Amino acid sequence: MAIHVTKSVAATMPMANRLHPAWSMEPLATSGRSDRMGYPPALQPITSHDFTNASADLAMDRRFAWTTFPNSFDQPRAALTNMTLRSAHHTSTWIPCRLNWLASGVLAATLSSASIAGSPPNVSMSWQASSDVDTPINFDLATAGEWAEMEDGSVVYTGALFSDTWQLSWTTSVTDDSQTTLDTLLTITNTSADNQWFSAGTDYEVDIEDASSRILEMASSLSLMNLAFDGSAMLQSLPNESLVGSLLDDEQVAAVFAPVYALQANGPFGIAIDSADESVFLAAGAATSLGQRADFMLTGGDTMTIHTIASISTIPAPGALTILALAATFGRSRRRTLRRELS
Amino acid sequence: MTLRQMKTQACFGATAIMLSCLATVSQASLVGTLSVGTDTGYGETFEVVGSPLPGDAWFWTSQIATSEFTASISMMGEPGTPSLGTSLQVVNGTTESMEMSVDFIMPIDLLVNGELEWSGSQAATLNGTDVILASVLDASVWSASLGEDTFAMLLDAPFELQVNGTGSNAASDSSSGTLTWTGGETLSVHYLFELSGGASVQFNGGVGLLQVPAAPSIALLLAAGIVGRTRRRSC
Repeated sequence: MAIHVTKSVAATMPMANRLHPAWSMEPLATSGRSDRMGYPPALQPITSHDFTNASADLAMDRRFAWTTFPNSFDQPRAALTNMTLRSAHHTSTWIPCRLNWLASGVLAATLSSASIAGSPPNVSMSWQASSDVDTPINFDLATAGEWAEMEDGSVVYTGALFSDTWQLSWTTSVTDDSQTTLDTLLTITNTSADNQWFSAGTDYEVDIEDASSRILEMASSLSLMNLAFDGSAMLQSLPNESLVGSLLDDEQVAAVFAPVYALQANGPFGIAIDSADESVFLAAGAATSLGQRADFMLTGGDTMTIHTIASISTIPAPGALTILALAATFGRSRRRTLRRELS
Repeated sequence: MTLRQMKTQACFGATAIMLSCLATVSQASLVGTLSVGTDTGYGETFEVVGSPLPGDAWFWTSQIATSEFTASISMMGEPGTPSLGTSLQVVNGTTESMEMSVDFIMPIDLLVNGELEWSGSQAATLNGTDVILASVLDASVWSASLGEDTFAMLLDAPFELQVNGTGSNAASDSSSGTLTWTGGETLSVHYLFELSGGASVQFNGGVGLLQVPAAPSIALLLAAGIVGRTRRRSC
């Protein structure tokens, strides 16, 4: 068995060295006037939000939409993978001191990548935490963490990032054989004392061929935990958006945990879980990416996981189904004949 | 001030600075121990250096990627008031079922002898196509220990979580109780499970311990309350 990486190398490195020079994050570009971080001035900062105020809902919704998807009002967002660091926003030693970013296994990932022939499929992640003005960020999963090619043909990426106010761990598995599959495991902890809005998106660049009958199956499980002896934990969707969605070429095609969705975990170290699934027939047309996104509010000091799988498969045409049925019947009669001959 | 006094003061000062530095170094590197093993022959133990978070919390994270599985372990704990939030993500990248064990040990501050209350919970989410997450033999999927003593077990055997077709499923378990602390300077969590080939599982949970006030302390508090009330009435 080949072990490509074992670590924690990054965790033992000094803060200033935790960011690999070749690796970078940058806020999404915004259209129109913006401040030095790229946010429209009137739309920041995002703060904790009371859902009982309807007008506040709308304001929050707009503000969040702007900061999460700044280009969403004018044009579709570009593909996410972009590893060039434009450090205009982050000069001197301010990045590591301010953020305490942990680029888990950056060094190890280099070793990992070198030990596996070829390059992995392009899978990237966008991330935003409302308390952190240095987000949103986009990063390539192969570079930001570790990846490995599995015996079953899938490619898996894993890593973690954290700042003073949040933690994010991911494991993302992609397959492109008889089915195109994106399986994402996310753990998010709100380490601040206040409620926070988070947005996490995963984008898998893959050629999805045009076919007359394709189906997208999507399923997701949530777990929410109150990491304390008192109080409770709350997870909530945006007012007008499902908590988890699947995307084809950045267009949402399926979603689960419809708005306004809420999950609560009560009591000391209390936990709550939920699962949902959906299947949709896809319209004809090729696509170049399969994605998942999750937008939600999480109470301070609590942790949650989102485990989502999206799989695209082609439904055999009626003619093909007939052939398959005939083959099965023929095969069965052959097996019967063989069994008779053997006995 | 004589020269001798000055020297003595300087010496104390230097010692204080040195101790302070040592404390800082110790505080800046709270080390956890992580052990990962599979029935396919993988077995490693790592020292994971923690990163301080605001307050008294620490964060440990480690990722392992092999051609057979990946594991991402993130732990957030407080050694002072012992508690540990645990997150484990595992993908079995083979076509066969795999048994895996993951242990994490966190050093804790010494407790006062006596009764402790504990609370813990654990959730498991499973994704894949016709896959199963199951306990191994008669061991629970998750357990927690204080020193050598195991005090909490969740997702007890026989445990099984299934996904039929392509999809996702979840299960959770919670418990609480009391124990008598007699020693032990670590809080540890243990995972042991069997995972189908091609499946991914994500565990989320935590455990915390609270010192129960000793009986004399409770009596004193009650007495103080009664005296206080009597005094207020007299006033």
